Amino acid sequence: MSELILSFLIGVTANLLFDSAYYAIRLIKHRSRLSDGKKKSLIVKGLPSEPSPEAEQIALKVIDGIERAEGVTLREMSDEVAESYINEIADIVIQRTMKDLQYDKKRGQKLLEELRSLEPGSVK
Amino acid sequence: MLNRLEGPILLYSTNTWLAYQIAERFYHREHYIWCVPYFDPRSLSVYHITIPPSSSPAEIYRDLYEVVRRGDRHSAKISENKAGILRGAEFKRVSGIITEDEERDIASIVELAETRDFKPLLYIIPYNLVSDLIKEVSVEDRAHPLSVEYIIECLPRRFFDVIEFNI
Repeated sequence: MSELILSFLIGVTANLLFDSAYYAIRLIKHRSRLSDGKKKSLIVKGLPSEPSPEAEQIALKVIDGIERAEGVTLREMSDEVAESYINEIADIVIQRTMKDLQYDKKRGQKLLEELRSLEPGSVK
Repeated sequence: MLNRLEGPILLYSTNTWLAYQIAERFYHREHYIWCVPYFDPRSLSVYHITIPPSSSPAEIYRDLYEVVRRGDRHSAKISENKAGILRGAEFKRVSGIITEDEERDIASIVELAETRDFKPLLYIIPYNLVSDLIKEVSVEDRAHPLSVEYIIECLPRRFFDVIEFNI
C-alpha cells in the first residue's frame, strides 16, 4: 500500500505533502457522504488553512489509486480497509516531518511532561 | 440543540488532549476545530440516520476513549490526529505564528506522545459567541439542518468550555 500512496506523494514539497495527505484523509473519513463516481470537493472556501487546489488534485489521485487497488469505490470501502489507508497516509506525514525537522527526544520529553502537568484532565 | 428561530444554541466538538494542549501552549490559546450543533445524533430521532459517525462528537469521543483504554498504539484515530497536529504546525509556521524551533518542539512532542495523550476532550461552544467565526463544510446529502458541520480556524479559549468524562 505504501508504494501506491508514495507514488503520488513522493518528490512533492513538505507543504504540499501535508495538505494532500490531510485532504485525502478527510475524504476517506467522510466517504459515506460522497456520491459514487464523483468526489465533490469537501474544501471549505475562504479559509486560509484549507488545502490548495494542487493539493486537492494530488489527494484525488491518491484516492483514485486506492480505489483501483481495492476494486471498490471509496464509499463502498469497509471501515477496516479505510482505517488502514488512513494509517498509511498519516505515517507518511509523520515520517516526513521527523526526517525534515530532526526531532529532539530530550526536549520533547521535557515539554510533554510539562503539558501533562497542566489542566484540563492532566494525564497521570 | 437547536433554537428554531436563530439556529443552534450550542456547538460541540471532540478533540484530543494533546491537540488541546498544543494549541494552548503554542497557538496563543486559539484552537482549530470541526464542530456540529449536536452531541449525539442518536438523540435526534429519525433524522440521526443522515449523520455519519465520523461527524458525531459522541462517537468520536467513544472511539478515542476506547483506543486510550485499550492502549492501542496503532489506531488510525491516533495516526490521523498526529498527522493533523503536524500539518497544523507546519501551517502555523508558514503563517508566521510559530517559529521553526517551535514547529520542531511540536514534532518532538508528537513523536514521543503515548496513547494516553490522545484521550478525548469535549468542547462546548455557545453558538452566539462564534457565529462570526464559523465556516460551513458543504456536503452532498443534507437531509436535515442538524447535519451541518462547521470549521472554526481560530477559536479563542475563552469562547468554550472543556469537559472530560468517563464512559
